[in-house]
Amino acid sequence: MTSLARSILQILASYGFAIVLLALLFLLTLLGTLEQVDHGLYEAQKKYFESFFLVYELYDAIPIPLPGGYLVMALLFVNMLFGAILRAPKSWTRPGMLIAHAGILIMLLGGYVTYHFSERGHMTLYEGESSDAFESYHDWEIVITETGAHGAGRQWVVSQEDFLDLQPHDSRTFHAIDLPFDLMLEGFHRNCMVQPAAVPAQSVDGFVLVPQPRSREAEQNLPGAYAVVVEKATGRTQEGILWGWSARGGPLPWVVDVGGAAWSIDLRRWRGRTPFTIVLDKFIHEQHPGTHMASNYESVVTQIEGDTRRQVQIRMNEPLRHKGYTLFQSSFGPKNAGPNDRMYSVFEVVRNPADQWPLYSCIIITIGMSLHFIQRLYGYLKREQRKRS
Amino acid sequence: MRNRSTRMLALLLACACAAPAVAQDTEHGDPGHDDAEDMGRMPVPRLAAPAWDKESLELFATLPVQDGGRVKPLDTMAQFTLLALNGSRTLRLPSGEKRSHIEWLLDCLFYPEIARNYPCFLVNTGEAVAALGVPTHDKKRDRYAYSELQPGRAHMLELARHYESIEARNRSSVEQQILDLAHNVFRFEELIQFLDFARARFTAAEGSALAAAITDPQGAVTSELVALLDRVSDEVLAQGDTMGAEQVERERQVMSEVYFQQLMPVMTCAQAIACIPSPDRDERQWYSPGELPHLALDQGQPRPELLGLLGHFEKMAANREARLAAGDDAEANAALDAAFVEELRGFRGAVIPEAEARGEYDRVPLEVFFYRAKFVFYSQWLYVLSFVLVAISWLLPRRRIVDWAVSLSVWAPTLLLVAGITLRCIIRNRPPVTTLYETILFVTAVAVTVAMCIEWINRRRIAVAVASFLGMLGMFLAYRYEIKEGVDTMPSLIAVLDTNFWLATHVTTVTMGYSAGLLAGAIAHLYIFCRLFGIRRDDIDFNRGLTRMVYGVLCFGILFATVGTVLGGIWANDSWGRFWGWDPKENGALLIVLWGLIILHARLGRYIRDLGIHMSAVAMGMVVAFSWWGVNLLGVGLHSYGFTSGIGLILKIFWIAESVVLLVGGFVWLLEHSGSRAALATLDPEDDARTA
Repeated sequence: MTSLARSILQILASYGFAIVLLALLFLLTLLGTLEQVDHGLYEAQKKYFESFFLVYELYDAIPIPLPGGYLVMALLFVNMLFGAILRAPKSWTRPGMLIAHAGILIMLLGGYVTYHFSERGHMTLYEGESSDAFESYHDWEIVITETGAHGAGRQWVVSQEDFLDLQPHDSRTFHAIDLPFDLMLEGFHRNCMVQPAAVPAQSVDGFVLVPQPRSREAEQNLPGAYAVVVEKATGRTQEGILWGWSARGGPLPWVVDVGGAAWSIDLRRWRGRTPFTIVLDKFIHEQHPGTHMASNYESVVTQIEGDTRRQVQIRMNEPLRHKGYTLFQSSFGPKNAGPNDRMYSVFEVVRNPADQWPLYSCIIITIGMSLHFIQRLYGYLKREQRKRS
Repeated sequence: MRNRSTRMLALLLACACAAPAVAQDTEHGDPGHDDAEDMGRMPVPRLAAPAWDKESLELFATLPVQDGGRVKPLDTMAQFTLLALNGSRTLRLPSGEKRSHIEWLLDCLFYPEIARNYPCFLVNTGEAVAALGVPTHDKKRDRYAYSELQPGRAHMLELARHYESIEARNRSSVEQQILDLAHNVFRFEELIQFLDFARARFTAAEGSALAAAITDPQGAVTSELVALLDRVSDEVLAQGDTMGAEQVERERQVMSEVYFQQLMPVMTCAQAIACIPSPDRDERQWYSPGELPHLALDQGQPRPELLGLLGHFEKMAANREARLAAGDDAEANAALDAAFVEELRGFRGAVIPEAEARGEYDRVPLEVFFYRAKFVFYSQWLYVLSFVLVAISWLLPRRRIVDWAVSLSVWAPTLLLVAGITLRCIIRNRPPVTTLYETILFVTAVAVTVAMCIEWINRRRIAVAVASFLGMLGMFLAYRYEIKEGVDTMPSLIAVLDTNFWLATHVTTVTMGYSAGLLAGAIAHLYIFCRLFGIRRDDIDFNRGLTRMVYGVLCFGILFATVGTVLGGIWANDSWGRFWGWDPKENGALLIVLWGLIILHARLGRYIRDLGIHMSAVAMGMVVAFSWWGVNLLGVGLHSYGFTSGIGLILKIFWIAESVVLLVGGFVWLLEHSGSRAALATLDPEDDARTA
């Protein structure tokens, strides 16, 4: 190993580096917590914990560049791997810390897997309804579907990474080889409303997008954009408005006629599917007597998979786990429902390959730290005893 | 009070129930009130109601009621209601007399005209009262009587309606106070109107069948009226053919007028205390007397046992009126008190066996005992005593008997505190920590116990001093917090918290982490100030002992904070579908863990030594304060059940004071490193490693 490589390894594995990283993570956690008061959890999480770099505005005036939480945690992983595992004393006289660090590595790795490979959304069912689809809270997509006789159901998807960064004055065109048109987006807003236009000449069918301040509750933001369909063959254009509200059962997707076929274009929340179907048989909602405080709410559901039907209860702290998917009792409604009103139940649906890793790491960390501190306490007690004698 | 939020909304939007009997009676001349005066209810205004006999107080105190979603003694409900209004469980009257919470409640129920003049509304600043347009007292922070606030009631409700629409964190202090005052006034009105139904007399239009059925010239009492309404309507229906349609319609109108315009207004006001278990044992709901007429007539036939319950209230109310009229006639008073107790026993005899059969009464007497035993109060003063003893012991030579006496003085309040926590667990059938208030008790108990264990090992009378100081501080905090909140400290839990497994594991471990962090910080203060003033500079054992103590406690804290935080994540993974969500409360716990890890690694890497460890421990105390209280003030996140307010100033003072301590530490370091003072022999970080 060259001396440079050795030096780098030494730095990466050093206590000093660990302290700097821990201190940075401490600072990011503190700032990210305080920022939630004004900007909500989602924005703070994106800015402080899922980023590589960020700029913190001290008193809204002095910009301070900081490494983001993603980068800090990745470096912490490297530091721990080199420092606490690879370069650790090879004797087994103090195994506790080795075990505890291994547990923390598993937890960080679990965080990485969750961040990159998990899916999350909600499934909302009225009593008697069934579904195998769930819808994201925050992620969006534009779906172009060919309708009509030719290849009905064929879909093209623009994922949010390709349009969510658009500024209101930007425009971006999306191409696909087998689509007979290009789709251009402009005037994009992360949160907006559609309203009748004051000046009809500057509108689409008499409507315009009116930007709204971003909500602290990110799931309440409804993005929108002006869309232009440009026919490849003729260059003819058609203008429309794409707006996230349609995802909540509002207006239908924008439908255009190109090349003799109808195409629907829909800006909607990302949708996922579970490998089984859930039927909500009954929703049970109990309150502490004489109050409006929920003491228990649970859903009796039937899980259908092929010919197999299984009745399960999903309640707070007791989710349904099956085939890598977990369904949690999240919410219910309508909020002011009477005793005979039909209720709906909201399930949080999560597919997380690292679902149980935190539990394993917790067990490992507990064993490791307990072993270590008991060893130290024993040493301390022995010393005190020696002193007295 | 049941359904407080809904009731408040009703208060703010319509004032439908509260207005008739209390506010409008003076402003607009409420007919119901005139009736009451006609009956000669309160002939002479008095400053204090007649004293209650012990037996009545005891029987009322242990009466089970359903409040806030659980069955509790009336005593508990009374003390937290008075605490919310008055900032104290005892009310001092202008005459100098004192009223306990249960006496005050009974005065409100049975002597409302007198209770209106009790100064039971604590207002922190006269500005809030001035804003209502009523005269203020000379003292800025003072207690007002309902009769003083009443002229400004309409304006208060108007202001409260407006302030309710402002987000809590954007309200000014005065706005919040007016809002709180409106809540409290409403709660008070619910109490003073509660027994209006038991004092009311009902009459029907002359010539009607109902009027003929009411034989008492003063009118029918409630229970009688309910039975008559049922009987007369049956009779009218039966005689419909002979009576003629016009007459039937007229009778129906008379009954409807009596039911909706006379009976319902007073019954609507009798909702504040749900003291009657549902006749259906499968139904968890208890009823207030106001719901009884409807319930009694629900099956088509009046249910005598339910009407009998109304009858007990009527007789008790009449008895108290007679008691008031009897004045100082001792013999008459004794007879009336005995009759009152008899009636009360009759009511209890109908209610308690039912509560027992439902399994809801067995812990009610225990709860009364718990609050009467005043565990926190006595612990606090015993800790003060122990602190004085410890201070004296420092002046005495080392003797085993002194050590024992000092230890005993700290163990005594600690055991009292632990007994209190245990009783709370038994009463609620819950682990020790379910609310913010309980975290204070638990954190104190653990910190003191750990400190006493250290003292047992170390025996330098240092840890014991810190233990008594922390005990004193913790109990003071608990006492103040309980007063500030003014709500039941053993409330019903929301669905996500309804799990004894996670409450027992995650909550207790993470709270033990708080205890250790604060204890380490407290001991570190001693070290820093000893070093500043050069106390025992040359006693290496003393200094090393302190460092080892702090380091050991930090390790203990980090272990529990880490495990507790991860357990919290696992719980969140089961309830909310994610292990970690960067929620403020989760982040607060993570900050403790991260700071702990920074200290451990800085020590191992020799970046900090003795003084550095102690300064880091002081900073750990600050981080714990942020995690424990600070994040709850932010008012955001999923842990909404832990939100609180009104302690921001105390927290800021704490952080500023601790920052000063850190500056002192930095000053000591500068002194020693600038050569102005010889540096202290330091604890080699590898020292422990070698010996371990």
